[in-house]
Amino acid sequence: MKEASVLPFEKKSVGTSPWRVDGIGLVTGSAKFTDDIFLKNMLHAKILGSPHAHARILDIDTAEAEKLPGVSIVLTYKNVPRVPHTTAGQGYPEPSPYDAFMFDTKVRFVGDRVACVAADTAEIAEQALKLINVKYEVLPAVFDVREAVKEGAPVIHDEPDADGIHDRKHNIAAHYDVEIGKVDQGLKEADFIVEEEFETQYAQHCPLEPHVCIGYLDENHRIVLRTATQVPWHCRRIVAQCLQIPVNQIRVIKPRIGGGFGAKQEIILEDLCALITVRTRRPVKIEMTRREEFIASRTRDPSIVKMTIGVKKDGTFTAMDQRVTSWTGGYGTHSLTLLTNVGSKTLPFYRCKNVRFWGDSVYTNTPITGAYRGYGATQGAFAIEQMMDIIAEKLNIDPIELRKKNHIQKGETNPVFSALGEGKEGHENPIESCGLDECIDRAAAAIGWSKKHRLYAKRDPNTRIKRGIGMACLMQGSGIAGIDMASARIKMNEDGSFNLLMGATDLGTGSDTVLAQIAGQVLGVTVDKIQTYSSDTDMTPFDKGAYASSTTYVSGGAVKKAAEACRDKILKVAAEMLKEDVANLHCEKAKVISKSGKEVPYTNIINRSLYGQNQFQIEGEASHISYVSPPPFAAHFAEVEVDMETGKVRVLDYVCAVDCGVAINPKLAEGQMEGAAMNGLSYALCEEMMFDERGRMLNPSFFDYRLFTTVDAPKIRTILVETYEPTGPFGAKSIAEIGINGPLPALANAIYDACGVRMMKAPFTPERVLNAIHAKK
Amino acid sequence: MFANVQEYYHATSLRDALKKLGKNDGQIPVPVTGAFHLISSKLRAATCLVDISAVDLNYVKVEGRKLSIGGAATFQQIVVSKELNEALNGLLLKAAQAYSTRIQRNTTTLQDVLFGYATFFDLLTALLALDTQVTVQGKQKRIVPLASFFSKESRAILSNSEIAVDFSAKLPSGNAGASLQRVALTDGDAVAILNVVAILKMTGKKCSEARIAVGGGLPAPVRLTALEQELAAKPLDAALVESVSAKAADLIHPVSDIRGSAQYRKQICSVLVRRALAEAYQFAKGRSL
Amino acid sequence: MNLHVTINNDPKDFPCQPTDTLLDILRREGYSGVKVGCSNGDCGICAVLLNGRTVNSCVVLAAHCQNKTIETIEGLSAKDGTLHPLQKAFLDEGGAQCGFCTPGLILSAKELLDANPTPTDADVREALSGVICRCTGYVKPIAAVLTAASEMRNAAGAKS
Repeated sequence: MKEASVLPFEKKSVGTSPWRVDGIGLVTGSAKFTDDIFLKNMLHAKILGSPHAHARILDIDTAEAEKLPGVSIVLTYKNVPRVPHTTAGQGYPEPSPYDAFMFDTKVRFVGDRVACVAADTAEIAEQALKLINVKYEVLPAVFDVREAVKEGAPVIHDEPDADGIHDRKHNIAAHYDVEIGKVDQGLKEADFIVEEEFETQYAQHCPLEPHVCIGYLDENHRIVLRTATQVPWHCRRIVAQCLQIPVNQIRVIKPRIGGGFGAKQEIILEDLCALITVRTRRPVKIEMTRREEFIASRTRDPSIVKMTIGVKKDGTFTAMDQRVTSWTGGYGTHSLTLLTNVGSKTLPFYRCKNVRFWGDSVYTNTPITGAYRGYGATQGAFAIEQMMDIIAEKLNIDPIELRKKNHIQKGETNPVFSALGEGKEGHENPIESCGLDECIDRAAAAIGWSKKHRLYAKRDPNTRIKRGIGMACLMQGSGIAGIDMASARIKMNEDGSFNLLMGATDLGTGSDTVLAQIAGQVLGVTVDKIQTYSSDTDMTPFDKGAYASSTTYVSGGAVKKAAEACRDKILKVAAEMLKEDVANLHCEKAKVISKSGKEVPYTNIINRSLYGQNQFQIEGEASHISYVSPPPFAAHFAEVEVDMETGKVRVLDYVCAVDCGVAINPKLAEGQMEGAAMNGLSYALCEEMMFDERGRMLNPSFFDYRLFTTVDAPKIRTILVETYEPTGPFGAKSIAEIGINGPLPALANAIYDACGVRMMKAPFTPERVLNAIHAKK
Repeated sequence: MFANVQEYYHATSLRDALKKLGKNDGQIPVPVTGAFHLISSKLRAATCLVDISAVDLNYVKVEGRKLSIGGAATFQQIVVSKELNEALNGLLLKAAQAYSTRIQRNTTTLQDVLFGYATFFDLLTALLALDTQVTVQGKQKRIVPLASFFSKESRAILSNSEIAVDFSAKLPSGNAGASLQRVALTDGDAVAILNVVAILKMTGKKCSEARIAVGGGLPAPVRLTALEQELAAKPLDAALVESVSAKAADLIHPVSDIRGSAQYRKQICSVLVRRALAEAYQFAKGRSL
Repeated sequence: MNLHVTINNDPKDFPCQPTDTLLDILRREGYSGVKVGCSNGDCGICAVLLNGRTVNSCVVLAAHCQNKTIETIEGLSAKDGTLHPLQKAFLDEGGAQCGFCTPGLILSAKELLDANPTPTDADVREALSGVICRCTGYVKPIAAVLTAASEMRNAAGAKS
């Protein structure tokens, strides 16, 4: 049923697509990214990565390296404080084990930190790395989670001072399990049971800007970290923790970022930069090479997701069981929360009284996995959305009908939301907006579902190229309920313009623009009247950072409140000037207008309050936190062609329809959906980090790690379905992540439709698909 | 990579370049055409880079039935060449374009491909199918079949002091058609899991000339001469193409690597050979088999 | 050695080592719109126009560019700040998200439009294939190039 489209406000700035506030800099090259400043006397630092997947460092001799002319400092475990911490950029106290050290006497994956050299040039630093003599005791390594949990497997984290590891002996970094109702009983009541296991692969975010950080001492000798980070405050806090100095000694500034997608929700280089700049008193830059970006930054966490669903003939579910085993790699950053998100974004999606989640996040001697757009929901959707299709086929009903019958609706909630939060108990989450049915209907119509579904069903068994059509429904969240907090401050200038200062972190997502539009909507001005400045821990108020699809919803909430507080002050001054009651006044088109017809322009108001009478700075500030996380919903449809002789899958058409509440900036919202979906398509069809038997990555370059370019990108159509989310700023929910979760299941379902082969393991490379086709015969 | 390079020399003519490359003064000169993404391993020992991009080796021409490509001509020049567009239903254009990023094609030359020994290019498979001859100029001039750079025994090598100045082939006359088939992880992948080029010259119902080359994900491209002989001087029909193609898998010796397993490459080899022959026939005769 | 080149219509002279890449020189001389992505010639993030052709400046030797013409993103808008139709189209269509690949995409598009004022969707895809973008999924950049082509045709038509 279509949601009412009457909004309780009139779209002025919200709902438009003005030029990005930072756009001119991007298209003319004047925008400054982290590496685009040139500091005199700057050191270049390089990291020595471990050649072994698992080894103890018995000794490091840096004498030769230190002697090399141009070398300023060499850091190892011998001269760096040993402070257990997590590199995960999460709210404190972080739900990740404290199992990382700036430098440890053990290495846990190929590329793990061994030493760091800072020198006058990058070339000298590279040379010096070669002069460092490391004595390793190579240990047996383990690469598969199924092996790592077994008795007798090499123990990856045996250091006594790590904290928060669930079960060291079995390499389990994090574990979570919860049951609602009685699943075993529910399975007994089922008319039939479907049980399947799915597996997703290692992949990297591939932000085009590698991780990079510049650290220096400012004129007051405080540490400044200019860094490509999604999490300035977590960065500041964790660097302070590692260096054992107060937070106020550090300033973190986020300049323009060249993509993050979760890879930059980590503290990977900043601790080194801070320490080097403190000890050498010189600026220092560390930039990852593309190879390091692949092996030594962060990756998607491969997961094995096993699902068991009990089904009744009427198409309802009596029990749902989900078992997840994920790779966390050498360290447990985001281990618990990635794990629980597999369940928390999928299990409440379909109505079921008996639900059980059980998951382990397991250490292996492979690259560190971490936050990546989708964050567990990607892996969960791959599983549950194929389960839905399997069930629909067994029931002989249209896959759309099964989903419409069972998915959560507006006005409902699900106990899973509170049982399975972010690694601990979450919050009740009643759904107050849900446009999923409209998403399904419009996307299905756009791709021609019913016609094609019937057409392709009548397939000629002998054709070599087969076509099929598939779909997937998705749910994500908007921020982390009860945890994510944002704040903003807005002040007025003489010309009636405003400065919006906010912690919110724009990684290219366009949040500066979206948040300015929210402020503009409140204040009755266009976006060009709002100067945004964001993500500077000295100058802007706190924001948790850009992750968990929280910026529009949570940071936007803070901006709206701050703008309202500012507006209230404007109205108060206007009331004095007009000698009218505030209740008669409203803000519109940079003026205050009275019901009586009188009006006063903003310029008059601000000049009076800055210079004239009862002087004060007109401004507003506010913080915002939400105790719900209203999900955006989406429906993705894919049409594919499978070459039965080579296994090659081509995507002929892809339609995404999303309910993100009210889209503050429709073009930016579409852009998020398109970019996420394309990333998901690439992940589904060709992206894979591959390793040899010694844990070394075989394809750490764009030449060998395949991802989509323009010649691979299929046609994608985006449909924005508007609903009104009462808890969101002007009805908005999030959109950033949900799109990446559709392709894996939608393509898998389409491939099944085309040729009767179900892909349980990603990516669906030609070879894997052909093997599956042959196996079926 | 460049640790030892001290001099960058712009050669003004081929003779000038060869003189600089042939000098025996303790320097290690190496020919470059401007970009080094294909020859970086060769630059490690180099002390002098000799730029040959301006010595008139950047031509692409078809004179009668003779095709000539200069060693410093770029892949993009091949793609936009009108004459090559018309020759053999655009085979070379498609083959060069399979390296499907224009930015890379703008600086990739056959000299660099051969010098850096990047054997995966579809263009090499196509040139191999055409029995291309390579003119190599060093202290002496030699004309070497392209195939000899790929053979297992007594493999030809391009040394540091030589330049592959010309790649020439004779295009078949009459009713000839060509096809390039490839399977790759992505369409943008320069390295196909496997690529196949087939060229057929038909005289009436018979195939008077057949060329089949396989490359991409092989150590080096190969000609399937045994199959070519089976096809030659026979009336060509779908059944013959089917039976001949089926044997293709056993004629290649692929390895397993990150793009595919040896087994998969063998599986698709026969499929791609069959498709290439069928399409070549289609172009030659104007109708399908 | 001394490198003499024309960058964005300005003649320039720089000291240059034979080992310098074009990317090294450009960034050192302040053209920070030319970015570092992979330093391996694979991603197009460092693309500039060399004698009118896009090249990955990270794998082109600076010395090779002696007496040649280079265009970077900084040179695309007019001296008075007027945006090139491609730049305007990228803003109108939302073709830039993080912006890191935007210079590479725009310069690749310029090479295309300078030679072919009536490109098809396939032409645009082929022209942009050397630049990897992770943010946009390429949808709006391709739309932006087609829009710019149309604007440029209209402007040319209006002039004649």
